[in-house]
Amino acid sequence: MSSLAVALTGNPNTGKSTIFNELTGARQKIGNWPGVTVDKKIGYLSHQGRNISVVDLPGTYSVNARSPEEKIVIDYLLNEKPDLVVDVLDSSNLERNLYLTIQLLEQGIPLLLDLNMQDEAKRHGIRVDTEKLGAALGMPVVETTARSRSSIKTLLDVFTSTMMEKYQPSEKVRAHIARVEGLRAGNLAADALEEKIIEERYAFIDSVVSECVSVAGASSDLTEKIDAVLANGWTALPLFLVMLYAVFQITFEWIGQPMADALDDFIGGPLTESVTATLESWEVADWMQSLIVDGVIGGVGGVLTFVPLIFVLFFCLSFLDGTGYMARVAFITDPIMRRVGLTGKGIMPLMMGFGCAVPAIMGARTLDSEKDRMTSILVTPFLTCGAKLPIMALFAAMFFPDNAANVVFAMYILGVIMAIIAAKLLGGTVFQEKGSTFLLELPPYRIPDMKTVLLETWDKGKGYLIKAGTIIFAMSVLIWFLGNFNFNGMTEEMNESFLAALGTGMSKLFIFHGFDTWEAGAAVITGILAKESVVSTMGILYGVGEISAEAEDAVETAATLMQSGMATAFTTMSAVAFMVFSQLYTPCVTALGTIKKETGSWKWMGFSAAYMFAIAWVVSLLVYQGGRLMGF
Amino acid sequence: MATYILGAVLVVALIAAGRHIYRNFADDKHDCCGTEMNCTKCPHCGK
Ligand SMILES: Nc1nc2c(ncn2[C@@H]2O[C@H](COP(=O)(O)OP(=O)(O)OP(=O)(O)O)[C@@H](O)[C@H]2O)c(=O)[nH]1
Ligand SMILES: [Mg+2]
Repeated sequence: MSSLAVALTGNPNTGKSTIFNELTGARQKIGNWPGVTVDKKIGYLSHQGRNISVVDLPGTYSVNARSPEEKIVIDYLLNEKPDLVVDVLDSSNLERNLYLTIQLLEQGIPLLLDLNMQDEAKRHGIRVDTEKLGAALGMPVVETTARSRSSIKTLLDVFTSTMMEKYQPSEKVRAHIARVEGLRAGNLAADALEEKIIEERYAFIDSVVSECVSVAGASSDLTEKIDAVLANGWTALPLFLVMLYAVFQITFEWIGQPMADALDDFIGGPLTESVTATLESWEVADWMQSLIVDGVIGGVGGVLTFVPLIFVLFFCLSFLDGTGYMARVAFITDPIMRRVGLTGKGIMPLMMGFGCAVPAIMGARTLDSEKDRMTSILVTPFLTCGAKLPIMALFAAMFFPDNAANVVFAMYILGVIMAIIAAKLLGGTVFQEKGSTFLLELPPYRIPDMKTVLLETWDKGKGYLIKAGTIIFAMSVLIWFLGNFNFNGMTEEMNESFLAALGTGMSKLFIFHGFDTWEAGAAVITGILAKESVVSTMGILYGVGEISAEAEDAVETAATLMQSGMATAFTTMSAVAFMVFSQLYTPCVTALGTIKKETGSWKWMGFSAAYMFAIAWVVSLLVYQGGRLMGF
Repeated sequence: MATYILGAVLVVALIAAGRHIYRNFADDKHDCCGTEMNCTKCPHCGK
């Protein structure tokens, strides 16, 4: 079987990753904004008896190797010499897209032109004469709509049937290359030379486009109309907040929360009861019953309850990502980001922090300057990641049943504000360097591809489930063990357990915060291993005791027991203080490890652990004492 | 008896969990990045 190496190149946001995913069944991140893919990614398939490898490359506007992405692309194309280089173009934007095409041709790289986004081009009344375009360049041309199966099938057939050796750059292209080479050979100054070459390229593109592209009845541009409202100087920021608020309402009030409540009722009620009854009938030892019911169900179940929230939130964020609104968010927030020494571009990795700090910290690599990158790495963990979400949701539902969504929203905003303040402080003191400029092409608004959105939601949600089944499970067993044993073996009194001893030590720090119980102290400690553990710990510690002691009397579900335990341990104000602290304190070990790796220094890792703890301690103290002064 | 069986099941589950955590650590993978990718190679992370 002969093999075929295919590489996908093109401008950013032209649909390369969509095509790649459709071809190989991979799950590359797709988003409606330029610069989603920043590294090459390889996938495999076979078609008509040929093994095909496909490489998805980052989108670029040119191949000067100025940015890391450009370097990846040009290195790959020149060194690996794939059999077939596919230049994916946005058909509704041919002029701009051809600028990369002509540069690649100048490098002597034969191309298969893929005129993608046919659906949009048609809607705009744009028609491309593929025969003429092919003839003008001397290269094969194919038309696709990446989201449709039939296009992908066509593309595969073209891949296997196209013999690139048969294609030679057209007379026109060769003449252009000769002119460019002539310019290079002359003795122009670098700047002037660059300018001349750019002129040449545009002249070439103009003549090709006028030959091959026709526009019938320019339709009114919907994107412009929407942007007049959504990206307009006055309304943009308030509308952005409204948009975020809506996402929260959907997640924590309308759709996510009711599902989470139902799941909670099920886990705390029927599930716990039937497991308890079964264990009882099997005459399982009491300690094992406690381990399973209090430890595993209390700990893992307590976290699983929040899975619906996670899925709904990820769905909303993924959906927004597909509409093209996120790129506007970068613009809208640019002035604010600039004030703290970052740029709007930094909002993209930052937004990832709502999912998990780890990819967000790594995503900071896409930022242009070292200062932006370091600042972003150090402030990202302030945001509410998916693992902190259960803490916020749990406390909000318990202490503010009528206002849960608003309280959670406030906590998220607090995280954002702290991130901004910290960026400002770090920018002014630790890192001083001029901010970089920021250019981002605004993509047209699109209706997100549901398949993409659902796959991405599932992918991230699945990660959360796996985490619950592995690390949170292991942590729950550990917490149960520490909470039920001391040096004398198993103890009836949790207050005398290992965990109580640990928690008591930690709780000394929170005497003025209103939550100086050993349980809260223990939750703070376990939370550093994985933030979900805060919720597991609460579930195990407050959901415990009564059930195993007198199973028959357990008419109250574990959930209500837990609530009554927590309701007495916290006042409303100390609950808020605890939420604030959990929101802001030291990131989990995984995030810390990532910080170490990304900054290459233990010093920065230690710094981030310590300064976040300190900030959390101070802010939480201010909130608690301030609240008490105001009479709450 | 049932206690021992359940104990054994739990131990096996714990070992499996531990193995997953170790594997993730060794391969530099993170569940929270989504399951399909290795983080350093994941589209928005890697470079
Ligand atoms: N209408 C339409 N939308 C498409 C088509 N192909 C891709 N898209 C959308 O275009 C956007 C960009 O797609 P991606 O596949 O992420 O683009 P990319 O070329 O990989 O972008 P970068 O990684 O930033 O270079 C997404 O919102 C896709 O859903 C198409 O043929 N028609
Ligand atoms: Mg891409």
